[in-house]
Amino acid sequence: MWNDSSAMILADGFIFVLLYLVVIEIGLTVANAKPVGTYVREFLLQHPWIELGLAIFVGALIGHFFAKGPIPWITH
Amino acid sequence: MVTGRKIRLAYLTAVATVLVVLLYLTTQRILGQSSPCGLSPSEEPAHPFLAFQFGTALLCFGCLVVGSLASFLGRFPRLLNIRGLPGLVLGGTKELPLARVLVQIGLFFLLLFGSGALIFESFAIYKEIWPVTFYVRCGNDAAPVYTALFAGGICLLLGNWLWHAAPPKGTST
Repeated sequence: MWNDSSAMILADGFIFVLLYLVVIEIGLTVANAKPVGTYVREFLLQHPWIELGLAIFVGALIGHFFAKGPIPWITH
Repeated sequence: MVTGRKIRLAYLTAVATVLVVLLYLTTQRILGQSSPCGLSPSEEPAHPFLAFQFGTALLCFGCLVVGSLASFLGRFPRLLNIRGLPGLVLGGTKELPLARVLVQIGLFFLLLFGSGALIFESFAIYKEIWPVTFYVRCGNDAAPVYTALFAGGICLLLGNWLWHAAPPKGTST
C-alpha cells in the first residue's frame, strides 16, 4: 500500500506548486512589488463565499489530519 | 542594516527550504519504502508534537494566525508606522503586470492539485487503498516534529495569502 505512488504524486505536485508560488513571492519581495497575498485577497474580496469555504476547509483539514478525540465529532 | 524586507526574504527563504526538503524526502527517501506504520497508521502519534495530542493542530492554527497578521496590520494605520513592520508583513507596493499572470497560474495549479487530492481521497476510501490522510498521519506518527514543521510552514503561507491585507480601495480589479 505504501508503494501506491498516486497519493504521493498529488501531494508532491501540491508542494511543488506551493514552492513555485514562494519563489514568485521571493522575487516580488526583491522587486518591492505587491505580494501574492494581495492578488488572492483581491479575488476573495469579490467572492466572500469562497473565502468562507476555504477557511472552513483549511480548518477541517487540520482537524482531520492532526486531531483526534476526546472531542466526539473528531473521531474517525 | 536589518530591514523588514530582509527579514521577510529570510522567512520566505526558510519556508522555500522547508518545501524543498519535503519534496526531497517524499520523492527520494520515502517513496517505494515499506511503511513504518503497518497496514494503517494510528489516529494519534505515539509521541505527539509538544507531548500533547493537539500540539500539531495548535501549531497549524497559530501559524495561520501569524500568517494572517498582514490583514490585522492593514486595519490599524498606527501599526503601519512601526519601523520595518510594513515591509515584513505587507511586502512591497509596486504593481508588476507579469506578477498577476504568474500568480494566477500558480493558484490555478494549487487548486487543481488540491481538488485532485480530494478526489483521490474519495477514490482511495472506495478502493480501500491508502488515502492522503493515512500518509499524513503516518508521517505524524513516524516523525512528529518534522511533520509539525512542514504543516506549520504550509499554514504560515496559507494564512498570509488567504488573509493578506486588502488592497487600497479603488485599486481592486
